[in-house]
Amino acid sequence: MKVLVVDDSKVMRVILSRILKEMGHEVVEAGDGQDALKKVEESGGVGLALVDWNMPVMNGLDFVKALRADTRFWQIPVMMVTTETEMGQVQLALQAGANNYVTKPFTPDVIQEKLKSMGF
Amino acid sequence: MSAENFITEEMLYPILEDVFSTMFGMPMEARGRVSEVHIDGRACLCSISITGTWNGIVLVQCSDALAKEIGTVMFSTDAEAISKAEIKDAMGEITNMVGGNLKRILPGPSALSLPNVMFGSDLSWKVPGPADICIFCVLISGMLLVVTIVRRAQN
Repeated sequence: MKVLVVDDSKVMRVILSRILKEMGHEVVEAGDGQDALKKVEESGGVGLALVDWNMPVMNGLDFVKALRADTRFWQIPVMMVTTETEMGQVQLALQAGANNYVTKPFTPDVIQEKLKSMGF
Repeated sequence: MSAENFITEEMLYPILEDVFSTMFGMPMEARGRVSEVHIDGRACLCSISITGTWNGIVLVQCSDALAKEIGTVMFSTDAEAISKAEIKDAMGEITNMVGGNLKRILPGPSALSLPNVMFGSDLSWKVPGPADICIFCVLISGMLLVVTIVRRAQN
């Protein structure tokens, strides 16, 4: 499956990509929300998106809202992977349309278990 | 909570343990709170701001050598292969995780800025206006890392 990893930090994209590739997934990387929308468009959609919150240009929350507003891509499952750990922020992301939420720091096991719980 | 202990070792060290030991397998040794510390030679100074109900700055400082070691571990690469930009990126993400998790235990709601990272010799920082400051030291892979939390006086 093609998975989009959206994070302004290269090292986070590398870490998440490594975990996803070990699970047998193909990875597409984007450095911010706007770049991610472009990559989704170019890819003709992806099977899943892992999205950071705090990013320049377009943050993760705005990306999720834009994705959910696009009739072509609104069904793409989204898991937030972020340092935004307050319960209010988690609720905000879920209300915006995120399907799951992981807080940094994490271990590969946490990512794999969350994805399994989402059916991946 | 008094101005002197608005952040305690019990609040900070589990966060650092999660970031360095659990996520990256880098041994961490707590060295306690200090009133002042200076890192000699070339160093890395990272900062991230928290604004909202709680206002302040989280600073992460270490030697160039430790920054390189952290970057090498995070990218799972060799010391010869890692670039300055990758070390900067890795240190920014460390600061982001420390700041984000401190924000969770501080009075909220507040917003986290993007991290800033700089390298240089004899780096120093200054907060305009009155502020409360807590400085903590840890050893990561046997090298000194300093976390400073600055609480602005309007809190």
